[in-house]
Amino acid sequence: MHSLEISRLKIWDSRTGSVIVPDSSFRVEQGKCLAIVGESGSGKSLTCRAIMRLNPASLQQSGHIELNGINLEELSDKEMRQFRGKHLCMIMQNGMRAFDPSRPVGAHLLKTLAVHYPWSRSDAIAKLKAALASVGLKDPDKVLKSYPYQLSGGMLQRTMIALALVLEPDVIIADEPTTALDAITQYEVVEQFIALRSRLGGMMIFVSHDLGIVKRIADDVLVMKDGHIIERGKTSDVLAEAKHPYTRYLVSSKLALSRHFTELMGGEAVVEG
Amino acid sequence: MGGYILRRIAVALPLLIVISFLAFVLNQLSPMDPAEVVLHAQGVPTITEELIAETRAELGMDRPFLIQYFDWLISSFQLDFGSSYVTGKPVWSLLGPALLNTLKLTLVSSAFIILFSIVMGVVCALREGGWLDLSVRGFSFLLTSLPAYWLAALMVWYFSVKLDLLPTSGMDSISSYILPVAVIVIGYAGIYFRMIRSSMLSNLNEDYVLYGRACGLSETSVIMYVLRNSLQVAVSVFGLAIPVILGSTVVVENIFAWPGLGTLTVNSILGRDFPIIQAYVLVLAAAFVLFNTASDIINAAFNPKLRKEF
Ligand SMILES: Nc1ncnc2c1ncn2[C@@H]1O[C@H](COP(=O)(O)OP(=O)(O)OP(=O)(O)O)[C@@H](O)[C@H]1O
Ligand SMILES: [Mg+2]
Repeated sequence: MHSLEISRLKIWDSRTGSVIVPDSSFRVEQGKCLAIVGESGSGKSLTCRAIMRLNPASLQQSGHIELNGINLEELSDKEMRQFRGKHLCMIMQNGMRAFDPSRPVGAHLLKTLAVHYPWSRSDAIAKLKAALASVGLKDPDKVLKSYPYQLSGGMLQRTMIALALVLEPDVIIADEPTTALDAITQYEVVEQFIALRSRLGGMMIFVSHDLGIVKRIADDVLVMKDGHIIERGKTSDVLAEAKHPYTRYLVSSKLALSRHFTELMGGEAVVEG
Repeated sequence: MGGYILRRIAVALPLLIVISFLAFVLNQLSPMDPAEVVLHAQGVPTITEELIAETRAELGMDRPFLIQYFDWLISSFQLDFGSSYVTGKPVWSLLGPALLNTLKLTLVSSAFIILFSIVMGVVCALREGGWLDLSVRGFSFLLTSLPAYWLAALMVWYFSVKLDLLPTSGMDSISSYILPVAVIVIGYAGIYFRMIRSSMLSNLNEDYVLYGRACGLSETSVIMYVLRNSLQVAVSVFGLAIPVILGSTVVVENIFAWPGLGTLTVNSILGRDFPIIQAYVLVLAAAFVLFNTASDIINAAFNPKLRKEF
């Protein structure tokens, strides 16, 4: 019962009729993390947004998206809106652009909580502060009052994670949540994602280009290319013995890259393949 | 915020001084000798060299250039721009009422322009690509491309002559406003509506809109985010637009015989009435700087990031 099941998802552009994702089916079990990898333009983001029914109106979708036995396609717009945030939570790629630039970060966080929970404002603030502190932000008060431009990308990423912690959604969809960060911050944010998973115990979809990160966080992997799922399986299996030439190419280029990186860093293996 | 306002004003003042200097110099460069203009205007039959020299002394024009400039500048701050060469009346007694009339026309027109462009810009952006968006854009493009004098003539012919509904000229009652305001609004609303629309659209494509929706916020809340960010652009745009409209009423004022700055200035330019022209340039420049400064301050109030950048 506790699962997210996508079957026969098709996404096409209604203006040109071109099909971007022809026929995708996959499933995320309770407590599991599914990684989606694939080259730029392969349809990873559109798939994520299709689950949340947040693609632009010009893009149409068909198929079955079922969360814990509820067919999301059949929900009214209003019901779907109540689902977003509370049951399906998204974490964006670029924290710097994810918040309204002319309001303090806390305004958005409190507004989101007010939509989903009947808590008093002071309760909501207390919960947010606890969550912000738990993701390693030292001064939660200051974060709430800061404008997005006053915080770093890593801090904003943690802020989105903290909001997810308070919202306790069934599914977290993270679309390249570490791509915009430098290597060290990336490492720390991935740690926070791993912690988020174990604390919430829900489902997670994690889009990434970085097979090193995928290996650390994901149980299963989907490999996408030109809108098609070309390979799937347990993360360790797919990375160890990829069947599809494209996946082998991904893994080998990743290995080459990390070898190059290792050479640059002067020998010791810093990044595992 | 207080510091920001002070800094902003500290920048505006030197700018005004520079403009005033340019206005003064440009008129000095004119080939006509002001003394000659005055003598012509007084109807003096034979203009001799001595008479010109005498008049120049009377006007204070035999003094060093910089002294003349500073004298003029300091008096200007007290709204004393000297006397008209042609009529001999104090410049401010001509310019003041004309400025007031032009301001009335400008502010009424600007209010409608702002109202139309914001309403249409927002509605069209939210219905991007729909029939309303397409038709408003097409229609406004058509209207904006019509020359003001042609449009004015057409409207006078139709509403005043044919239907006899509205006055053709002057500034006697509320109904006198309708045609001039309509011509100005038609000329400008299309331009500014487009800016609001594209600013809305670029904000609608921002990540924060997607994240807001993904968090389950209502469409109204998300649109409020977008509005707040788009209207910042609007404040700057209109801060510059109002003085532009102020300066561009010349054509409309002349067609509708509106007793404003435009009419006064055109007559002054034809009559080489330098003190009025100088005062006009100064007043217009002051309006530009004033509105620009005001819009920056309003924007900084919206967006704290701007306060730091300055
Ligand atoms: N609004 C849209 N209308 C039409 N086509 C779109 C739209 N958005 C994206 N596409 C197309 O759909 C394809 C998939 O895009 P998507 O953003 O899902 O790729 P992605 O796998 O997330 O890539 P990246 O790794 O660069 O984020 C791309 O070819 C893109 O050009
Ligand atoms: Mg993407």
